Amino acid sequence: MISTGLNELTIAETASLIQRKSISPVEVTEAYLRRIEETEDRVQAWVTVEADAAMKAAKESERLIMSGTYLGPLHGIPYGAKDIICTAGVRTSGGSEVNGDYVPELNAAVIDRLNEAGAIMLGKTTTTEYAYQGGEPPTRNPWNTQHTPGGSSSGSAAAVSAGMAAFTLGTQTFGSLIRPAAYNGLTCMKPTFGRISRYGVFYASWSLDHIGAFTRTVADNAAVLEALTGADNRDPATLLGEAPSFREAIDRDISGLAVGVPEPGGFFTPEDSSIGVAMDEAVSVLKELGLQIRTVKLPACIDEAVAAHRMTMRAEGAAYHLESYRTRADYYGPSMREQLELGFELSAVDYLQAQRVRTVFRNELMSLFDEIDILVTPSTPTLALPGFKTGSAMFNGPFTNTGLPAMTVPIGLEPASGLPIGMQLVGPLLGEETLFAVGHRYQQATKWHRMTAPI
Amino acid sequence: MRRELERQYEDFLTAERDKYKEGHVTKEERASFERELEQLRSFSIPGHIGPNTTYRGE
Repeated sequence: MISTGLNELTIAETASLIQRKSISPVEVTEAYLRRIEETEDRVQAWVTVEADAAMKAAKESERLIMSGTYLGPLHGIPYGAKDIICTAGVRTSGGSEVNGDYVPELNAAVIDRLNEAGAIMLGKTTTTEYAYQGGEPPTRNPWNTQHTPGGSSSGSAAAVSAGMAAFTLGTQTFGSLIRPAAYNGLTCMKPTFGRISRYGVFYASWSLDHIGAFTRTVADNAAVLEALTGADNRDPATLLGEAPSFREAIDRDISGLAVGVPEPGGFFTPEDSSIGVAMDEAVSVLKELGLQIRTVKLPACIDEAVAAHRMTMRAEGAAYHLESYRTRADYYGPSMREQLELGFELSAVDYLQAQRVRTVFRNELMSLFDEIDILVTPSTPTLALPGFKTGSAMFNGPFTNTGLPAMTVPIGLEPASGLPIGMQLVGPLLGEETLFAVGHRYQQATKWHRMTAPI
Repeated sequence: MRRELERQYEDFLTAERDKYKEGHVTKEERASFERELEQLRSFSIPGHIGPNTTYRGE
């Protein structure tokens, strides 16, 4: 007898029931579609819901199980994909009017990988215009619908938070995975640059774009990322070599690991005092788990690195949109248009100087990990803001800029607003396994990831 | 509730559009852009440091 709603279970719990044939992928998919019907009006997380296609896929998924074929931990698990990720035969609008009726002929690499893993796509989730700043969707934060869910992966975060999908795909070019995940009380890993193929995903910036997944738990995130990871010659940035087993990594021994905490009063000082309080408590938990806490000094050029990041986004965005901007400039939203206009003004020398600053910053940030195993910071400087602006990504930018892996886990709720707070764990390049292990142990010791949005 | 949210969203979109009445780039964003450009140009970097390249593992 299962008393919890199927859409409230973790992926691991659902997968276990599906594998044992205690529940069918059809029942699971029906539960999520029902939840979408119940809550979408208040959350507005979806651009497109493919209910018929999802049910058809669920029936095929059930048939495979009954015939003895089990594809793994994502078999029969329903998910959503940010609407900049191409889906064959399903409109991919990019959150824009520039080419808003575009229906791709091919799937993005990540969609093909999830198909192979047996996951079931429910539909496409809202995004800011082309995952850029500006062009915010109407999507609401399920914890408090007067507030933003963050962005640019607005719908992906809100959908999981509201129990409308078991997991969702998003992207991060500045802070578009970690920030909305933190605002929605979710777990999310932005992996090392190059871990996941971006083939078939609209680019915001070639040298900054990362793909990740929103889940409730670290264990679930490890399962999804493991399915997505791997080399792909269609995205030359992907890392070569064998993909690690993230699911095995979560059980690694973490005792004695050194955790760096930035010096107080610096770049990572939160604006909301409740975030500072929650961080202190979370760091105490890490200490109780046997980790050693050390104060660390961040690279001096962090402000220049932010400037380099923004210039890179402008220049690469302008280059990517060059052709369509020539003929359809008036269809771009004003905020994105502003950034593209500035991008067109940048010289090659300025772009290259920005890349050199990024090299200096990455080298200095990597050298921090000679002394520590992971760095922890608040995931965001503020709680989710009221209204529709998606909030500050400043605490996430440094690790997108450098390609270092970063993960957020929920660590508390602000009592008055009921809004979630997140802690960002950062590792050296290719250091996801340690982050998963620390995050998993933290979630075994706490219950924040078990809380659900009151919608 | 949906209607009230729709009204708030429409107001937000209108306010966003109004920021650009004077042109495609606001004065504030132009100033920020110029400041960041100057910051990057004046940052001293040793000659052996090249542009950021994709990390391909060890």
